[in-house]
Amino acid sequence: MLNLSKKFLQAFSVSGAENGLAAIIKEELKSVADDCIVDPMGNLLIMRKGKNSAKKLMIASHMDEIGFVVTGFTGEGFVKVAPIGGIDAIASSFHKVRFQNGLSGVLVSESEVKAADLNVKKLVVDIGAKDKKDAEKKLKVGDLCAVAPMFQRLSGSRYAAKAFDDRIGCVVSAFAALHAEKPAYDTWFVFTVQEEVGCRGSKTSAFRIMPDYGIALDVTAADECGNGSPVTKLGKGAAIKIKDRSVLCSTAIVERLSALAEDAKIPYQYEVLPYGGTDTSSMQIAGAGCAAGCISIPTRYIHSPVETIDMKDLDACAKLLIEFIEKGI
Amino acid sequence: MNRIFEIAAGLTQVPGVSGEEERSFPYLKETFGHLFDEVGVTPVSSFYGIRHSKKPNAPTILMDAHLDTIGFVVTECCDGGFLKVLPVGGTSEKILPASEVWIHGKETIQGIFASKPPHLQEPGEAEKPMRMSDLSIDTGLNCKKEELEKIIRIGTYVSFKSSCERMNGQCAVSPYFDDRICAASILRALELVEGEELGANIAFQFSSREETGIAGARTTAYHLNPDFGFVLDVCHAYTEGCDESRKCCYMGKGCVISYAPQTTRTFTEAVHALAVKEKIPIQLMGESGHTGTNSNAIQTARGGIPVCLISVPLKNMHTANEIVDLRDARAAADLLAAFLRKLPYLGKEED
Amino acid sequence: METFWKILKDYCDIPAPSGLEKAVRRRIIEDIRNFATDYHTDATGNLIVFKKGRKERKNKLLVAAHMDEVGFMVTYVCDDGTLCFDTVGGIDRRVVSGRRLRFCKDGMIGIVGSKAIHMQKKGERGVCEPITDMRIDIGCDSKEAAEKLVQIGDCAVFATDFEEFGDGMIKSKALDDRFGCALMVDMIRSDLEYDTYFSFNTCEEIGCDGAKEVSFQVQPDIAVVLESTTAGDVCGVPDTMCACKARGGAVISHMDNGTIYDKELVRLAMDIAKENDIPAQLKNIVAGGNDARSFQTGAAGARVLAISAPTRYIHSASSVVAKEDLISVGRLVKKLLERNI
Repeated sequence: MLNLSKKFLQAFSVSGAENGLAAIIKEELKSVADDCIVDPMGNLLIMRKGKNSAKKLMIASHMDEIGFVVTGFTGEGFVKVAPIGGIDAIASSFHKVRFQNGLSGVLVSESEVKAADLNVKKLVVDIGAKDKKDAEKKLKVGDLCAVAPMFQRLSGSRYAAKAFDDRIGCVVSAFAALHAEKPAYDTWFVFTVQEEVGCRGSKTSAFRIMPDYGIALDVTAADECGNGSPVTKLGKGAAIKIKDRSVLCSTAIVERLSALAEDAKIPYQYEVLPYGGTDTSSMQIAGAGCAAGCISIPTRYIHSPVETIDMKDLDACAKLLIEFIEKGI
Repeated sequence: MNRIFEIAAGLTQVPGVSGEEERSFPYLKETFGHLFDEVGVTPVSSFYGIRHSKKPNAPTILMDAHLDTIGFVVTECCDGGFLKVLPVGGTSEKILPASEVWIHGKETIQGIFASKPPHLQEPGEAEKPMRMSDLSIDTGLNCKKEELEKIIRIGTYVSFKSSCERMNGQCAVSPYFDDRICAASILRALELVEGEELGANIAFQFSSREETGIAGARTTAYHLNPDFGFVLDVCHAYTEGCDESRKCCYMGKGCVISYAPQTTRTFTEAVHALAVKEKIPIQLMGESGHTGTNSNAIQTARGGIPVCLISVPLKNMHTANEIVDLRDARAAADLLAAFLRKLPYLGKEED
Repeated sequence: METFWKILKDYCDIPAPSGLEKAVRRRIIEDIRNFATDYHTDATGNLIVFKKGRKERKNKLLVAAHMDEVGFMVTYVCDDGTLCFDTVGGIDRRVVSGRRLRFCKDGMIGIVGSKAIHMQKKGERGVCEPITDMRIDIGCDSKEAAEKLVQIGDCAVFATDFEEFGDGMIKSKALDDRFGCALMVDMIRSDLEYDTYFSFNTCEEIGCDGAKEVSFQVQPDIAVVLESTTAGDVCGVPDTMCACKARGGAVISHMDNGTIYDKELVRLAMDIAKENDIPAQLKNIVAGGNDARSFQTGAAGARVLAISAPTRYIHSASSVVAKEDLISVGRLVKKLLERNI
């Protein structure tokens, strides 16, 4: 899974420009795919046939990450940008950024902005341009950028990286697609687009598939320094989602995942997230609805360039997902 | 009036917090199964019943009320038998201290929202807002966190303890009247037309997760695929201190018909005219934006479903003591029954 | 003991706020009249009972509990049919908003209206309005209709039932102080070693008034008050701030806002508890007050002791006590009365 992680993390995949990552994943999974669709929005749908083709399982993880879009240039050649997705100005500023065309820049705040007043409107990118004209030669309005890739092993099985949200979900899904025995149902591994801007990709892919069961894979908040009541704890296993702001997970899925984890002795914990949303909601409300749930990967500092996870949790998530794929409800 | 109270009282005995509506299915099937040719539940935990018409190509009329109620979800078990919770759907923290709740763990146990003893309060604390994080639930269990976790887990749902009573006159009180009173109106309407030949199929949907979004209503309407439908929900009755505009809607003056962009005007007009003709007490409400009900979720299901929104005025919404006037619920039932008999609207726009 | 719990439940479920103790008193008289040596109701409603023991006691000893509970009183009938009210006794406004009440005279239900969260303006969220801004809703839409049902001065209490829950816990609106009443009835119905006076007092919650009157009539040398007292052992409260704890045993007060208790009696009570393995605790915060202050300062004065049941969420719709603590208080008081003090 480490290799898949490194591979996926290298791709440029800001919301709306996920095609690069889609190609990588498609290549990775082509050996196991019984069917493969790239839909009009850019979602990648890969199907493995199951023992029972009367039912459909959808696994959703999103390919996109948060970033910025170029909105204009100042006379001095600074690049004005607008946020894509939930950007935390403090977490993102004074970092190296990378544009889709490979150009590098640094994301900075306007001078004389106090820390307390810092917000995304005060952020600009310095690409080293001499002036507006020079900048316009290198970039145009609408170009996308994101914080440059970073991947760092901390101690033990813990790693920090930019965009673990939700590359790591894609990794778990892809790993399960490659390693699960014959699935219980026809299983669609869906790598969705534009989750960070409102779970948009999963809406169309869920409608196309009309699954009977849906499982999303996404990151969730884990214990951080100074936060006495964490949503989940790093290293304590796969998090079975109860609710977030977008969804109340179906009892049937919550119970089944818990039972599977108990039986296979996979470490797990429950997650009640007071904020945030996931692709789970899109699956639950597609068509006549389906029983939907989410396996969350405990992650610290979400939406920062140093999102931190524990590989042991990733193992637990993958095992649990494989159990569900193989055994079904 | 007594019958509608009976139905409502029965419905309010079974908890069904958003996310765990399954809890009420056995009761619903057993008690109301006979009103329908077919009953079922959806993957998103809505309950539905269908009554077929003998007439060929009869239209299908949806009748929606939401099954779920607001409640809480456990986020932490603490030593001494206490629980920390978050709200599911909105409620005001100020009504919680010393409130009685049911905790739906491995078994359902009783609990009480702990209140801070006066000697621990800072001067002036009573004027300050309460926060959910300051509140906890006392299970009365004498145990460590680990013991508690054997019956209650993170994610266990908590509801207000049910208690339905008649008040003075035609009023009644329960924590679950939002929206069980409306389901009572629909079920009463179906009882009123029981045995009659109707020109339409009836699809009753008791939808889940209204308090947290559209997941229940949208998917159930998709599944039932009706030609048009009624949405029944509660609305705020005027009480002293509310905005003047709320005076459109008083307790005991009838059910409320909403004119709104999120409902279908020709349908609404037909229902309005029928109520006037049949001398059924109604009040009118204009809602220029979101109605805060299932109307939009159903209206936009599939290729669009015409909807008419009928409300029952209610006081103290989202508290343990929601009050309704049974005459208003009765008016809604009479209006629906009259509609089913007369069918003044068939789901088509005329140009 | 079976009958004790039944009596306690019955007493707790009777609505009887300060000044309206008649219903409780009648029931108590019914329960004791075949067991008391002598009893009478005084001019203001206190019930005073004498029970002859096997022996005469060195001092005149009175055991006391109060019959009244906290409640609500109608102060005005508004034009829209809702009722202005005030609390009878000290009730934290934050356990009043949105509550169901029961009127004493006919059992009619009233609800303390609470503006729905949807209509609360910014800043109102979670903030509890003062009692003067709250209204009781009895389902009437006009002053005329409401006045047919209630008048100014009518009283109501929290509408909750006595119930057991959790690990041996009891919840009720009126454990304070029907528990004391039930325990005294239990003692009057049993054989006593020494002569003992008992008083069931009125109006404790509004200033310990009944006890003042009783004090003058009985003029005891020693007064032992049986009470309920605030237990602060809720989630997140440090031990040092709890005052006392549920399941910690009988609470013996050494000092509260009204009384500095008799040191000899406090020591005696603690010793008796220890000798008999009865769980007991000293209240570790100086707070609250009870009838002891009236007895201590009434007439020529008396030596006073208060033994209480630790009670969570006291003065709310759901006061909570542990049965084991009630048993401890009962055992301790009985052992104390077996002494010739």
